[in-house]
Amino acid sequence: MNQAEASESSSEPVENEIELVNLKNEDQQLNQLLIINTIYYIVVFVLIGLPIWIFTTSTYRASLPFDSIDQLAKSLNRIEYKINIEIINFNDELTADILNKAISDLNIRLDKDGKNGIELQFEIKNRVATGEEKKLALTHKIELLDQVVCSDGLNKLHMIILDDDSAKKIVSEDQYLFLNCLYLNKNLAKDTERLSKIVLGEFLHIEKINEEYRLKMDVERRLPSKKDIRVVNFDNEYEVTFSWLNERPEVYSKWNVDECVEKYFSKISDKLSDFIKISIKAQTLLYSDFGSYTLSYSKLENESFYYLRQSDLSIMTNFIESRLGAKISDSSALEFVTYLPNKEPLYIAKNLQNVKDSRSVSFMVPRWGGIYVYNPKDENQSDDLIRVEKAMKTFLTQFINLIGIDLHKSSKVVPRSGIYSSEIFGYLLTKTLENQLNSINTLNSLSLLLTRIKSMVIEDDIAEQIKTSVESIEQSLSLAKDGKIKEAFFKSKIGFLSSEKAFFDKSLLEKLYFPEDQRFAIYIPLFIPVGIPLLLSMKSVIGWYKKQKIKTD
Amino acid sequence: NYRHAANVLSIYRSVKRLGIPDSHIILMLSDDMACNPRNPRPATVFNNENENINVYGDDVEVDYRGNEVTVKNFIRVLTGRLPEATPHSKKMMSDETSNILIYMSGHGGEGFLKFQDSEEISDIELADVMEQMWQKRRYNQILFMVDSCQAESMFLKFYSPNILAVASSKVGEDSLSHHMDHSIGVYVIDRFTYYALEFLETVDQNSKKTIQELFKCCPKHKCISTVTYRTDLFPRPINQVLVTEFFGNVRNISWTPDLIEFSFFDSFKTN
Repeated sequence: MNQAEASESSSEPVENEIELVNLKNEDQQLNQLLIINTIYYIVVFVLIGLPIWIFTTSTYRASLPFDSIDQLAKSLNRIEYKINIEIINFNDELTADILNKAISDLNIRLDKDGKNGIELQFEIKNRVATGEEKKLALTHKIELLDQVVCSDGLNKLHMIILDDDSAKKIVSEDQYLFLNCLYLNKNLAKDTERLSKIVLGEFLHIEKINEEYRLKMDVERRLPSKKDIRVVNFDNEYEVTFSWLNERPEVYSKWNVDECVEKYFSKISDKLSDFIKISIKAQTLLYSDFGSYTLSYSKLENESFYYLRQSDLSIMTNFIESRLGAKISDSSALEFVTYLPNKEPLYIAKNLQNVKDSRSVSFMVPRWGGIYVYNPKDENQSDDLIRVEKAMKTFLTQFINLIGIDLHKSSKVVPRSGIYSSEIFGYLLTKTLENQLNSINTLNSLSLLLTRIKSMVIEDDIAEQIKTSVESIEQSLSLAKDGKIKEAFFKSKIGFLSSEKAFFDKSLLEKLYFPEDQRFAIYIPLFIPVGIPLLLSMKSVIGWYKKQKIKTD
Repeated sequence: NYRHAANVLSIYRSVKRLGIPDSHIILMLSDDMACNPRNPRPATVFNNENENINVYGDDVEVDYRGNEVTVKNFIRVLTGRLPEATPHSKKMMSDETSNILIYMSGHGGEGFLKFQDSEEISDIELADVMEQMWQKRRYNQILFMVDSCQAESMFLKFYSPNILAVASSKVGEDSLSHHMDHSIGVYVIDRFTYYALEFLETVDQNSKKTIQELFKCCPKHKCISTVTYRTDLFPRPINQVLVTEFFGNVRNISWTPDLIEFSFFDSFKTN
């Protein structure tokens, strides 16, 4: 018994030892298991959790050509346009050397004076007139010559030096005739100082162009006094509305606006339709209800007419405008209103000191349109149809002014049949430059905005618009440098419209992006309860790793 | 509140009287006062206890009303980022030649202005919007007027050039209302707006009164809160800036130039 007990008691310590060792081993294995578990959690957290968080909270940004936009902004400091001039000599007395000398002189002058804003390069070619052209010139039918010679597109200025006979008839001493081509006599051809002034001033409108350039480049944006703020901003489409505000519908019920538009207005708007779209509408409004406003007519004692003062006209325009329904359309609108007043005859007094002699029936509202007061007595009205030819002529002049086309001085020799290609060239030149400057500024401010707010969403179609705009403007600048102004205009139009569309897209609102603080705020309740224990258990993992290293060493 | 609607409508009327057409005004109003069931004078809003002018009368064109008056829409209007189908009357079609007057009235605090009980616009947001407008050349000059408590805080963070700002009270002060109409039972106008309107009554389209006079229209004994203004962002001294540059009319009438005679004019014979 004692031996068994003794053996038992002696085996107990052994068993205890074995158990202790077993427990120790188990502990170690458990520890190892726990460590491996922790490592597994950390790995999952870092390799799967963090990427999911980053991807789900980042905003979609399509790639944008920021470098190209920077390049374009830098190119604003030096804009180069090339102007092609072709001189056709009809005058046998003007020999080639004299002409060549005059041309090089002209080139020098133009180069010098054409660099005060944008840089104009001039390429002057010259040739002698062909036999056929000379025959045409001898007939003195200048319109025909104009059509035949100046028919190779808009990108050139043709200068024609007439022979002495034709010059006497068409262009008297020291004068010139500017139709589609510029007609000179040989004296003016040699007077290069005057000639360069004509080219720069009347053909290229260089003052206007340089003012526009300076305005856009001025950091303080001081508005120059010469900026013509009567002209509407450039747009792809203009909607012209002819309205008849009829206060006497019991007497007059019809107007012949469609005839007049067809005969007069369409002739001009069709010519411009290659470059800008013009849609024409007409409407009639009866019994103008100006609300609480009554037109303040005045009447002089011994006179039989009523008149409006200039100070009343803007308020009158406001109240007329509220009735026109102009706010509905999307494109830029030009309003031309024919007003048939209740009290007639009604005039507008330009000069209050001398009302009788300064009477007028029409006025222009900058960037808006024009109003014409129709007095049936003055217009020889006989029946209930009012004839608006005179009104339409006025509106046509106002329209050309408001669109921004500068016309050459009218000539008594050749009545004007439309807008000349040299005038359209001037218009295209101004508008191309305007579009290029505006687009580059827009793209620049867009890129500044998007780099400043890194988490604003940029969708694919906005990125497309921006890329289109950048490419079009780049092409437009290189075409203009090459002298192809007409093509440069079309490209600049595309560039301008896409840059505006991209900038004013409704998705570019700051409030729509994923705010920085929300990024963390949403995921903190998920990450903290898991993350903190993991972080703390990193300590034990590192301790175990160090132990393993010591063991193996 | 009733008085906030009355404030805004009164300024709207002044501006229209001085010649600015509706096509150049954007009016955002919660528009729940005139037809409110608690309004004892239905379909009217008065700004004076004499009740002699109904500022909600004919010829009021509200562009954004009710639920449309949100911070998002306000920012959209200023920055121009509206959906394409928005009519022109709801868009601000301004460019680098435009002078803009922004008048805001409501409840406010330090750094924010309340919009319609559920949201607020902060001063930082407003400053960023001004900068975006400057970058896109959407204005030439801005006059920013705000009538609310602690209104000064709304313009302290501006950093874009050519902005003039005036507020009815400093940070830490409350703006107070002027008087109550006992028959309607609410305060009908705020002090700063009341005295500003009084000043504007003396202005007409040809007036030479300056912005400095406008800013000083409400001294402390009248307004009780201190009317503060900010001119450091503006290039010219305020005694040379006319009130009519912001409040006056936009149309400079010009005469038709000499008529262009086209050869096809004679082709059509009149009777």
